[in-house]
Amino acid sequence: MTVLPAAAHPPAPRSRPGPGLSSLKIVLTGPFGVGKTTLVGAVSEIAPVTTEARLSAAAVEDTTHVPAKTTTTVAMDFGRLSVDGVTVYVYGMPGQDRFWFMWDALTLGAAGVIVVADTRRLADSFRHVDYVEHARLPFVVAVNQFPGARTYPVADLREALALGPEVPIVDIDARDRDCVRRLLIALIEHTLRTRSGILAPHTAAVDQHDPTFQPKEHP
Amino acid sequence: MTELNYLLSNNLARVPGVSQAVAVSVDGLLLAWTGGLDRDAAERLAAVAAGLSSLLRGAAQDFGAGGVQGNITDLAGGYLILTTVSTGASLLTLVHRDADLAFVTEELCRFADQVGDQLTPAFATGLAGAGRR
Repeated sequence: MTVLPAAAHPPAPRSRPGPGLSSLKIVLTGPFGVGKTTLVGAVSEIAPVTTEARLSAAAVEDTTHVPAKTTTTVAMDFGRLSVDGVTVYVYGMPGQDRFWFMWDALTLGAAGVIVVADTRRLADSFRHVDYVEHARLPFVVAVNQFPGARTYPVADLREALALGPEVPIVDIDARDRDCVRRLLIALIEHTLRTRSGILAPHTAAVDQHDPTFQPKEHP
Repeated sequence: MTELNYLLSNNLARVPGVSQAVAVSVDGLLLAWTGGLDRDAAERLAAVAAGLSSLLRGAAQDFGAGGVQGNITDLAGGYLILTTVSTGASLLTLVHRDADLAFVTEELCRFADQVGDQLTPAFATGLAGAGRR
């Protein structure tokens, strides 16, 4: 298969003519089993792209908190929705560490990132937060409320994840479309505030954290 | 966008053996697609093309085998050909099973060279914050 021509891959130009605000790319990251594929499926207005493969015993990461998990994303998730006339493209990263090599490519052109966390294993989200901070992309933290998981005051979550005061923390139920739409809107607003400079470095974030939040029971 | 759509539908899609194609920016934005595809499918194919490029680059790196120039996937119903251009943008093309692969891939490369300059538009990175790398 050597019939295709050689092509170099210089870095993408820093500023490109874009289609304006008609479309946005958002990336979703977070540890294995935290609900990223579910989230994309809940909010996408087209049939999403999923790349799930059956978990083999050797490939299984710690499933203590995801005992029923039988599949894992091996490349990415993709969905599309419309928010106030803006087409939003959502790319979900694979959760397992060995897919980190895809990070730079999948975040290319992203306006912002959602880091999904599970309160029962917050530490698993540390490296995702680190990576997004390192990439200097605007981000929000979405706390996926699994049924039966404890809820914590937002200040505790902020401290546990070592988040700056400007990073919004949003409670979600990844299965709930309206909930996830609100999350995406929160990210877009945060991105716009960050971009426009309205948000000073130490301005407190607009959290959507409700200590009484409980996920709906799904059949 | 419209000119690229025109070129895709009137030049590329008329290459003997070519069935459908999408043109995709390096970050996965759908730039153009041939008439036989609906937009939703074309958007998914664009995302897949970007993800596939990324996966293949990962493999090429671990094998120490240089950059990705293209990829041919053997499908029961045809061939799926990824052609990358210098900017990292790509064309993902479905080719008929009985097509002359050498001829089609050569034509794909010729087309990619021809439209390469038009494959640079991408997502509105202006929103991505002043500190973006």
